[in-house]
Amino acid sequence: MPPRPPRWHVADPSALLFQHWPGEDEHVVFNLRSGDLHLLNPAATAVLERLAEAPASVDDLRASLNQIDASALDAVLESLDGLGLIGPLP
Amino acid sequence: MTVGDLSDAELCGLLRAQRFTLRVGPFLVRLRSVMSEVQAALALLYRAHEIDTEADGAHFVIRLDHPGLVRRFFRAQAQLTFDLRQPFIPLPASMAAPMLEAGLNWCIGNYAHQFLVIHSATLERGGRALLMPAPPGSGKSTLCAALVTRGWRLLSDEFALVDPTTGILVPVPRPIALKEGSIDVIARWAPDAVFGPSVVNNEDETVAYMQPPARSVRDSGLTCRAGWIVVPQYVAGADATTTPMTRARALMHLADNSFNYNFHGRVGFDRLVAIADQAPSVTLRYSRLDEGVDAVDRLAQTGAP
Repeated sequence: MPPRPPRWHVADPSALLFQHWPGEDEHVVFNLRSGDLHLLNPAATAVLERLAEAPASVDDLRASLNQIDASALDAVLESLDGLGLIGPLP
Repeated sequence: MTVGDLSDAELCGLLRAQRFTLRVGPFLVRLRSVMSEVQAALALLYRAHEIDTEADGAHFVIRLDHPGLVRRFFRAQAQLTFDLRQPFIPLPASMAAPMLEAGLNWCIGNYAHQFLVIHSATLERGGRALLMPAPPGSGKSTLCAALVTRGWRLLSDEFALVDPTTGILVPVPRPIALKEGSIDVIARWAPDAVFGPSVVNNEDETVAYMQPPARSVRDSGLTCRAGWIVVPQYVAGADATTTPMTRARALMHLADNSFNYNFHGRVGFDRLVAIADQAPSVTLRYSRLDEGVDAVDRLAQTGAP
């Protein structure tokens, strides 16, 4: 497994449009840069919204999103990275 | 003037002289062909559509003819040309009607970016539209054909054309494509329905087109807004069941079936959100047509899943 990057970020937070309806678990995010639409669970949404506010390390995320357990956080970061929604800070 | 007002000789002459411009919903389609198969398909399936013999321009200019002299007389073939491009391989001349329909689908799907284009059967009742966005094989055209014989107005069995700014749905009624067993199912369901000839396409499927109701064609200037979303799933042997979808899932489903929401950027996204927001959404599993039609009618009467 490659080493985890020290900090993650959203390259252009203004390009992400979030949509959520009250009473529903899942969120939809539209990436204006790629033109792709994604359906996210609450954990992925929380991580993405947090990173859209400011870059953060895994430890930062763990501290601020303590409702997500460690292994789930790794999986969420990996899938958001795979979707091109977040990336490691250079 | 409609296609049905023309004699065979007049239709043939206009098609050969490139003066045959068909009004298909919001589009003007200029067709040129010498093929008797094309003339027969137009005379039967586009009977109620208006034509304009003096139109200066057209949105789409299509030629559907034999690919060469040899293939006019020996194992006759048809080839479709649009804007000097030939998007499909030549097929037997008997396939002229499916080629014309596939060509129009190709034009609308690739070029009608003034609209938010969704792959969806679309019908209207009481001023509200029913969208059935689904991939091929889901039973949407079969259900659509059945519904138009039970009081629903056909907007399209293939597309929802949405004005991205206003959300208004623009009808584009055309022949309804039915495949394989669905042809007999609809022929039994609606004995008065008029079909073109059944032909075998290059995927070895039997295809036939059902004439769209004349009222739907005449009323193609009447727009409406989305009222319901039904995602049909034909499941052999299944009792009809409807299951509510979350709005987030409905939004994803609309986007998955949209040709160009991302082309419209924020406006396209906001419009899909608005449709998912205003239209109750369900999945409909069904196998028996009468049950599927009843389920859609119930949804439309109650207004909610």
